[in-house]
Amino acid sequence: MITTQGLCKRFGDRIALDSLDLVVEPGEVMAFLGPNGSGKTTTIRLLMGLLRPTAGRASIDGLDCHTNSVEVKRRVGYLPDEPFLYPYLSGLEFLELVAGLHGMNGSVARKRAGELGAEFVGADCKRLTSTYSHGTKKRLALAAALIHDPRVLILDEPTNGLDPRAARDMRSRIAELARAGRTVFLSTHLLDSAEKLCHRVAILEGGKLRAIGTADELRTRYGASGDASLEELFLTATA
Amino acid sequence: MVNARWRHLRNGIVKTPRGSRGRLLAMVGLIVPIAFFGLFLTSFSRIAEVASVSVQAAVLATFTTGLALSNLFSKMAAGDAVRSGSAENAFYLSHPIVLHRLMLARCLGAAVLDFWGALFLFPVLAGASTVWHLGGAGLGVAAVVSILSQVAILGAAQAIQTALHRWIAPRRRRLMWTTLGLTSALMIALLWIFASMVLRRPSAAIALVSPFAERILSSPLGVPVAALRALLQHDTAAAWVWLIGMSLGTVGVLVGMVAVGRLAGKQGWEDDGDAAREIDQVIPARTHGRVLSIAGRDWLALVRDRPRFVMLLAMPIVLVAVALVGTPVSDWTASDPERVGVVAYSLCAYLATIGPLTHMQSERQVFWILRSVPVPFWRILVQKSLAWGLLVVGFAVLAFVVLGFHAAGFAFFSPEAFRVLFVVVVGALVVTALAVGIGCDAADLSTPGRSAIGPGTVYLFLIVSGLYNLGLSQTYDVWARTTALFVLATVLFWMTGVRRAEDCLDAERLAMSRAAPGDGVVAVILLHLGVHATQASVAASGGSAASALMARVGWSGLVAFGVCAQLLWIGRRNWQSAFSGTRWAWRVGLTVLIVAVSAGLRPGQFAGSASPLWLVVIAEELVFRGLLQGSLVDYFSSGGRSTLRGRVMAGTIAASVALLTMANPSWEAVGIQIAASVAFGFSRSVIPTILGRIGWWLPV
Repeated sequence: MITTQGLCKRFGDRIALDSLDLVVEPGEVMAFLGPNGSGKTTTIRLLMGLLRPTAGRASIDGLDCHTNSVEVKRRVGYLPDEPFLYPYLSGLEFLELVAGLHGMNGSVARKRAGELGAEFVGADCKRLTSTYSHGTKKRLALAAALIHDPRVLILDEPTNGLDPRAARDMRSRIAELARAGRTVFLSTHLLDSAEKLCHRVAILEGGKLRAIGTADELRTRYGASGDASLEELFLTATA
Repeated sequence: MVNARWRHLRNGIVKTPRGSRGRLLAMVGLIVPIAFFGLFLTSFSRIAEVASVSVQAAVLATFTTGLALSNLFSKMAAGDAVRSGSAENAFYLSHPIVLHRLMLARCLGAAVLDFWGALFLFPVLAGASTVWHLGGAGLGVAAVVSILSQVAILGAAQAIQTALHRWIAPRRRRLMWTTLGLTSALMIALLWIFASMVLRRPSAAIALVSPFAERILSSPLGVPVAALRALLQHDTAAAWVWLIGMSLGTVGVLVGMVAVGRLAGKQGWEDDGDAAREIDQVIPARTHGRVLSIAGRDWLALVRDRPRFVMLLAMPIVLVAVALVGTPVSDWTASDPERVGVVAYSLCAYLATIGPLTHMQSERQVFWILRSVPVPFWRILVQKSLAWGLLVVGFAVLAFVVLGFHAAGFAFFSPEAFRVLFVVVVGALVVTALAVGIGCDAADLSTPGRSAIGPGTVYLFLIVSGLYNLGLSQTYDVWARTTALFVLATVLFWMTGVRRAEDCLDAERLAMSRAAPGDGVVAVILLHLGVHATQASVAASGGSAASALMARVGWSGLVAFGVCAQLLWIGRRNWQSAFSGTRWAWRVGLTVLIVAVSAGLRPGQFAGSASPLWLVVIAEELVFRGLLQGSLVDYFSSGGRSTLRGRVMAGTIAASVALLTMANPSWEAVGIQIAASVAFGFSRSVIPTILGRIGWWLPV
């Protein structure tokens, strides 16, 4: 479903991503772990066609993320790390706008926006987004990412900046989406939630892929005991 | 804080990579005051020739006070103290620093570090000082007066903003910000009237000020020029007294500001200056009609952002009123539909500056939404242009009708009036598209932490949009040619803008700093407008054909030097390759030169290396081929390699643009342009085209 082959990205002399080879299978939830500046957001932006690769190729559903970015975006829902929203639109209007941009007509767009608005933002969806808290903005952005019922979800730090209750709420929503058969690719710093949510994890450091696999596979690879946490494995992999 | 700001400024200019816009803006910031100094010097010399000293001083006092008041109101309206600087405010106020100390640091920091801000009066006062032959002492007084004025203005603006925020209720506060914005716009408009009088018709300025000269000089309006006047009367002691008095006045303003800061405490600050946060209302869901589009969203946001909306509604009224009331403009527009059209279009261009162009400033924060939906980016920009086009075209019609009613003997229902109205409406539509295109091309959309639309972008927009005005008051063929050039320029800015907006989050792509078609268009327009202006100026002054030729050579040389200096300085890679050429290119060029000269294809027309006309050839080839065609080849290249199709398209566009800048191009000129474009397309060097054209001399 998501494939990268020798994907590279340079920013001047700095290598942000160095020859990343990755395959995420349909219906799989994969967490992308790594310290700050390890290349997680760069990878996600490359997958969304927001950046051009310096070398290599990224594809989703067999479509090149750069040359076929419009078709890719029809299949993908994207949640950025910092979801800036139009301040003078209500949550409902924002969802309607995104639905329209995905080609839905009036009644379908309004119905879908109403459903998702009520589910993710509740009564606040009729208020201007400028009055929303950070968590509400993230929930609204996730609703926008789901408006066209995508098969693939790319989530950049979905729980970043959320309070514990909101973070748990976000995790349970992602788990529901995964159970519904969507492919989810997410980056996170929260290792415990990655362990609970994801089928496999990929550990990135300095733009290079250090390790990939299930928690058990990583334990075997690093010779850790059966009860070693993902945090211990992460620290070993990035040491 | 002053130290941190100094380091920030130094790093922004010196330690940024080659090709950064910080350096370019610094250069522009240096050139503009020098140009302004030159303009004012010329106008004030003409005033000094015919007016008494007291009238000269009164004109100077009115002008400087107008500048100071415009500066004060724009600073208050911009909300530097409590709104725009919010991130910095939040940082400093989270540390053990009291509000009034921060306000004081801002004032002193601006006086020391904001050179151009602190010396905003300097070009005018220095111009007057030069005309009055006051020497170094006069320049020193001009600098001190300017710096003291800036500190006082900043202090007063901060005090008023802080007081307004601390003691006015939020609902009324929004009204106050809007009122301040409108007052600022009105002040700038009044200043524009008086400045255009002083610069374009000094006799009108003298006639206006003469009856009140003594009253002006004995009122507070006379304070900024009092020290210079004392120097003119060889009364150095009085000059010192005035400077000390101004210093005490400035200290008084600062004491008042500190008092306001102390009284307000930290409650004198807004959280983040986001006007939208102050609205907390429930928006009822729509149950019918079309789904919200990008254009609909832009309209909705505009209507809900009330201060901005009021400003956009009020500004056209202020502008039209200014055009009607301002003596030189109303005289100029009288009864002639084309002149009414020129003023109406100019006002449209101004509205496009404060409308769609600045709209891109706020749009960049939400770029991720537009980039993550399955819609090609150019279609989103088309929708934006249409949304804003309605506003600008509506205003164009309004301005034309109102100005037409005002003009004596204007025949509304004549075919000529309809033709001009149509021309203005077309111009308004294209200028809106241009604003959106330049908003994407020239604006820095890469980070929300930086101002996206700076003065450089605004000047660029005004220069390009001014091109259309050139054709409005000319004959049909000139209008058609200029319109074609204007539309082509807009298309090229769009191409560059869409590409740049798509890459705006990609630091690697932006750091490549390659010349873009938009850069080529700017150089073409500078060359074209400059040549046009110099020719018109020589013709108006009754100069000979030789002086007209020299003026053209001089301007072309200046543009060639400017283009080379700018592009070599910022190190744009594709430009360097076009400039240096290859051994092969040299051989081809020399062969063409030798063959052309030995065959005597154009005997007698080229006076050899002694003729300065070679500068015209070099300038044209650098601009049309090296910069425009070179950047277009790059633009159309695929995977870093130029294709034959791309080279043909680039050559066709470059040759078309070159021909559009010519008056009545001959078939020979067409042939030369095609040959030069083909030669450049294959060699990617300007060497053969320059040598070839010098050999085959044709000053087109």
